[in-house]
Amino acid sequence: MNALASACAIRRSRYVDSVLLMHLSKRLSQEPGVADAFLIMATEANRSRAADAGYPRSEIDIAGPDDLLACVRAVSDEAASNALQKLDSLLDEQRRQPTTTVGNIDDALVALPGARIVSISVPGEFAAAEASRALERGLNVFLFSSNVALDDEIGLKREASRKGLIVMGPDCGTSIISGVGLGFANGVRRGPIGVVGASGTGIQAITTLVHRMGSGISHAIGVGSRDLSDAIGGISTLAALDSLDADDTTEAIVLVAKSTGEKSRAEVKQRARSMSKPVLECYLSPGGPTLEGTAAEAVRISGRSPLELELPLGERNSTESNRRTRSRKRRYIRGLFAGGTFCHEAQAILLDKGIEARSNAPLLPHLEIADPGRSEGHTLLDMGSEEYTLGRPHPMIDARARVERLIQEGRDPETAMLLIDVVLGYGAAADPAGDLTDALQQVQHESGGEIAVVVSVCGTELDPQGLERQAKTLQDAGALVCPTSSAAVDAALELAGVAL
Amino acid sequence: MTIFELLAAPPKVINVGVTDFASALVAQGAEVVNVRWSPPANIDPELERLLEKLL
Repeated sequence: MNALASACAIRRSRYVDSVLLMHLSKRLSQEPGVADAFLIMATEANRSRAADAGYPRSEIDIAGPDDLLACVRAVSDEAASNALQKLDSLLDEQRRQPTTTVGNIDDALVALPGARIVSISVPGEFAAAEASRALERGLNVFLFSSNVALDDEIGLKREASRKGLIVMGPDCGTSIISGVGLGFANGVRRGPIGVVGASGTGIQAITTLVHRMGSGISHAIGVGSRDLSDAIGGISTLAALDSLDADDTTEAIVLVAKSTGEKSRAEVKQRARSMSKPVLECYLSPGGPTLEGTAAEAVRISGRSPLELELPLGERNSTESNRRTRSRKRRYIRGLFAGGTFCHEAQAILLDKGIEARSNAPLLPHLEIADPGRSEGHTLLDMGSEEYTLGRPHPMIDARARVERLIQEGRDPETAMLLIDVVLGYGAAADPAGDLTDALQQVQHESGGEIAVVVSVCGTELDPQGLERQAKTLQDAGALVCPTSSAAVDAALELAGVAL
Repeated sequence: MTIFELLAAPPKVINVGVTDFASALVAQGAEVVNVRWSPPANIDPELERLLEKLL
């Protein structure tokens, strides 16, 4: 490390969103002789991260929060300087967007008359103001941003309700309106099933499974992770249910959520009873339904028989032989999830079998992991949580945090099994399976093949990444690829040889 | 444009923030306009709220 040369460059008052920062970091790190590239908006917290990564404070601290800071480490001063010289041409390349770009919402309305919705994904502290501007102009809001104050959320949702509009979010990962996916959404055929979800990956799971079981989606409406808390009272959930009840293309409705307030749940139940269409409630908790079971039931109540799912792929025999040769110390399942809902569902399935797993997003308070940086016993981590994504895009876009953790778990002599999800779709990484394969192979190599890897893939053949292609990539990297998230948990339990 | 009208046809979308989301909408054949966004100048949030109300 000491032999490497480092250099930094600042672009004053140049804002770049976190996803573009990741793309640019990747491009610079591929320049000749570059070992590491680090691009940030130079807020105080991000400057500290750069210093922690070993870049000199003297070069970092002359940048301010509105500035773009690019740092590279390379084999020589010349290589570092050459890489940084590419920065401006890369920024120009990114500026040439395929869409019409304007300066504000009013100009956007002129450029796109009849616009119905604003998709907002700015940093949380600025998101409420943008959402408010959209509502004032009579537009619905898809609010991807998280870290929006609870009071702001209540205010925005009440305002939307007064105007007959909806605020999907904040912290809303996914919606599909008339076949158009917003945020992280999968390619699914249109059909009779409507979905309302307080969980982004919950919606992705239900919509992809319904598609793979042969049916389709009318609309999927995300409402944000807090909507069904008693503080919010399900304002957006109720609006979404009403709109799907009135929608001619919807025959049955699925409501999916990780957790709910008691009052909100009772109110939703009451509303569902008064509706003209069947509503299937899927609250993921011990004793509750799985995502797969809910999707199959939704297909059935819309009058069709769910098709058999075609996966799994994978060398089950090799993972079974791995179990026979595994060291006795290797007893634990380590789940590293990009989708928070898959982490939640896996914990519920384990609790149903009497197995307690630690988590950074625990179902029961006493199961909260003491140190998110170190697993203990069975551990299931939501890698999309703030503690792992600080200053980085979500793991569905940026695999770096999960790759580092995979290698860490692989070096833990107690790890028997790695349980992971791979989430496809619009907005997700171009090759999420490919981003993990080197790490998966390294883990299996370093453990002498003693650690097995079980994966579920959330996606369809209509996704840009292609379900089969991604599953094959993972299979080729030695993973057992299961048809659904719950099937992957079952397989992991069986193959880990966990005593039930 | 109420929520009921929103569901009546494939939506035309205004994107504010991550430009990749605008590209994903284009890839799906949706009509999109992207709003160039950067954090507002560093002013007092209370003052900003007041200005919002006045303007």
